Amino acid sequence: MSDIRDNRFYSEEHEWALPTEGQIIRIGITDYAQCQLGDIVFVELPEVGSSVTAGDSVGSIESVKTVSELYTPVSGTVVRVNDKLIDAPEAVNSDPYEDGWMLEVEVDGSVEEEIGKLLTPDRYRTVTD
Amino acid sequence: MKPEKALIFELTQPGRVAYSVPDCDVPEVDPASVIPHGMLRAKPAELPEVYEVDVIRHYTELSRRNFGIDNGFYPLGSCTMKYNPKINEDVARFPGFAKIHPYQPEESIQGALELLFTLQNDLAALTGMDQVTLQPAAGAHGEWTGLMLIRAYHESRGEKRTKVIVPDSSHGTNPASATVAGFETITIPSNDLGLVDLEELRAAVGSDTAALMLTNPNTLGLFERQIEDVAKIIHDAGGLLYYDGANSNAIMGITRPGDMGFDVVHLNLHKTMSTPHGGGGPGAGPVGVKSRLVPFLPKPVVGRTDDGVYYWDTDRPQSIGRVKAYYGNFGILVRAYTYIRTYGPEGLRRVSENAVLNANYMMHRLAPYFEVPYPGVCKHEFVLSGKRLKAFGVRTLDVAKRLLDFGYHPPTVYFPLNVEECIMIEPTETESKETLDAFIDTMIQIAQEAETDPQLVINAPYTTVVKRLDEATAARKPVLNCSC
Amino acid sequence: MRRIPGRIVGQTTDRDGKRGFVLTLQAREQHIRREKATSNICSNQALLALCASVYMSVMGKAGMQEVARQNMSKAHYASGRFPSGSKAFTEPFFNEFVIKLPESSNIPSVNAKLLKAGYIGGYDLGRDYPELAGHMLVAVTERRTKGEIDDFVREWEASL
Repeated sequence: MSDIRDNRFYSEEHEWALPTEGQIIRIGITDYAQCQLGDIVFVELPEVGSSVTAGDSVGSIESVKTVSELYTPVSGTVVRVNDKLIDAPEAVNSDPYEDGWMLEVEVDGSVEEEIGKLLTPDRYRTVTD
Repeated sequence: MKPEKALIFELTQPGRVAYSVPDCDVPEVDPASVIPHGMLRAKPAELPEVYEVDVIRHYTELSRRNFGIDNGFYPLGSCTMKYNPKINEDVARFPGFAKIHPYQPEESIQGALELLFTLQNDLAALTGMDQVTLQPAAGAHGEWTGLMLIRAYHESRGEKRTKVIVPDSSHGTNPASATVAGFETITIPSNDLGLVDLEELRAAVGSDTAALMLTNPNTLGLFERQIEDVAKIIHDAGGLLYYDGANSNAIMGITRPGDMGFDVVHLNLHKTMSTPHGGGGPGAGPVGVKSRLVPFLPKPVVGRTDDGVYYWDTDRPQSIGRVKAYYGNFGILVRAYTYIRTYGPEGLRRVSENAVLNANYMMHRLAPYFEVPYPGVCKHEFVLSGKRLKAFGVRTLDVAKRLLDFGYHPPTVYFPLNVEECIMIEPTETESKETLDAFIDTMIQIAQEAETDPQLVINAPYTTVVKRLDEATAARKPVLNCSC
Repeated sequence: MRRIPGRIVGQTTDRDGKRGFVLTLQAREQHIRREKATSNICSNQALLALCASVYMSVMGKAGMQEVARQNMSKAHYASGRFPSGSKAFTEPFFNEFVIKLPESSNIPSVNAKLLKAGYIGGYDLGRDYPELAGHMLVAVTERRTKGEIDDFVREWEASL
């Protein structure tokens, strides 16, 4: 049974989104996703300052025998990425919701509007069942 | 437990040598008097300093730590790990083949040229193509060569076609070769039967379609029954049909890509024609084409005059050029030639018939224990899904590792990508019923172990020279150089 | 490193901490990344790598230098045996050099005569460089003796 946190929002592609402060939304992949991928060995993240649209591939996540795209669930500008993952990608496996976060996007419109398009924790549970 | 194996560098004792070369019987030239200062090495390369016996024992031991086709059953799907007859090796070692150089005058290598010429024609006859180049070094190189031929063909007609279509079950080399050859790949989903979805194909083709790349039978081991419809859709759109010959062991002497409508074919001689794989030798990926593509073939090809003299045919103005130094992996071509002569047309047909029979026998015996996602009649290989075992925490990778404890090379796993927990088995024709049964019984035993003692499977292997290796750390913090 | 093509072997450890080797960084490769792979390379050519590895182990630190020295010394000895007018270049060379034939002679005929005498003659550079018609490339390795070199130059002169 995978860990699904009630305080955040989800995409069909198994990303989570967490509004932090102001217009900023933090993004990572879910516990279900890291479990499916297995041991993650490398994470490629977007450049800070790049503008992204929800659904865009903004990076990739490599495990030993697979590679999967990282999609952004929201639109805006990348303001921060988790550089620690370059040297310690295993954090995505051990702590996908906290230490394993991937990027922060400053949304152009309202946070509520961006989040409103995503899945609630309950809806996401039905996706992973 | 066997002790850790020392690296050859760790055996070094300064001053030891394993070689002897004749004394230099001419005046010695001081390198410093010839080579410009700054280009001379300050100190020698860090190479091992060991005795000859150390070298022999070291590499012999390394070879014993490998599982090869001469050690046991090797059902690696899509790789056609058949037994490689030893006569191939004997012939390849004839001094007349092993000790010649491609720059020799043609009159001094007529035997080698005749062999190449005959092999070109044999492979053309087997595949239903009009002309063959033997240059490509392996399958993916053949794919790239074929795609460059396709590009040259379209360009010669003033057409710019940029897209190559592949099914989602295709080998990874197909889209990768398309990219390397400068094309854009379009991947189309397979239908519920695991075959090319004709509607998806119709929707994908257009005036920018350069080619469709296909294996037949496909990577699920299924024969693409509507291949003639596929060919018509592609040809009507002005595209060409590329045959990935990785699965040719299913069809030799039974049907030919050329008759199915394919325009370009590559064969993996290290699969179908029993030449060694990987550590045993380089590959070879000859490419055959229909007549409209012949002018573009890499040069030279081997020609024969009316007087029976063989020669390098370099007068090919539309050729895409050389794709390999000299003439491909010649020693491998000698082995393939030997194999074809050994079996003859009837024998090669029996090879494919038995390869298909063996695969079907195994699939039917394993079906009660592993899910068969595409039931029915398979060709030379078939896929199983290990997803039932996930309930016990056992994954396909664990089953593969556990097989090592029983002396088997595992099947291909997690390919094709469109089958969950995929196990892809290709027995080949060279295995006896006893070998197949013993392997099947082992697979059944492992499936039972997964239910009753999953940890036993999850922690496998136990009997190999090293136990399960930490691949994650190897990829996270790569150690790629000897640190000694 | 995550962009280079082809197979890469890496060192790692097994469950017991024992050294072992794996194919690593495979997510670059065609069987995983497909059209986005860094190359389409699949079949390996490891026998050739093995041969080279064994050879370097046999020759070792001293042997590789000894072979190189002999190549150079014997090639320079051979070059010195040819008539001085036949030297095409004065630049430094290692173990092969270019010989220019007299106007009255041509390479196919010289090489045909040499073949009858049991030698495969020099490479006809005119095949690749039209401006070097009538020039042949001669290579000498550590395996040749002074006697063989002398005999070859004598046959070459006789074949002009």
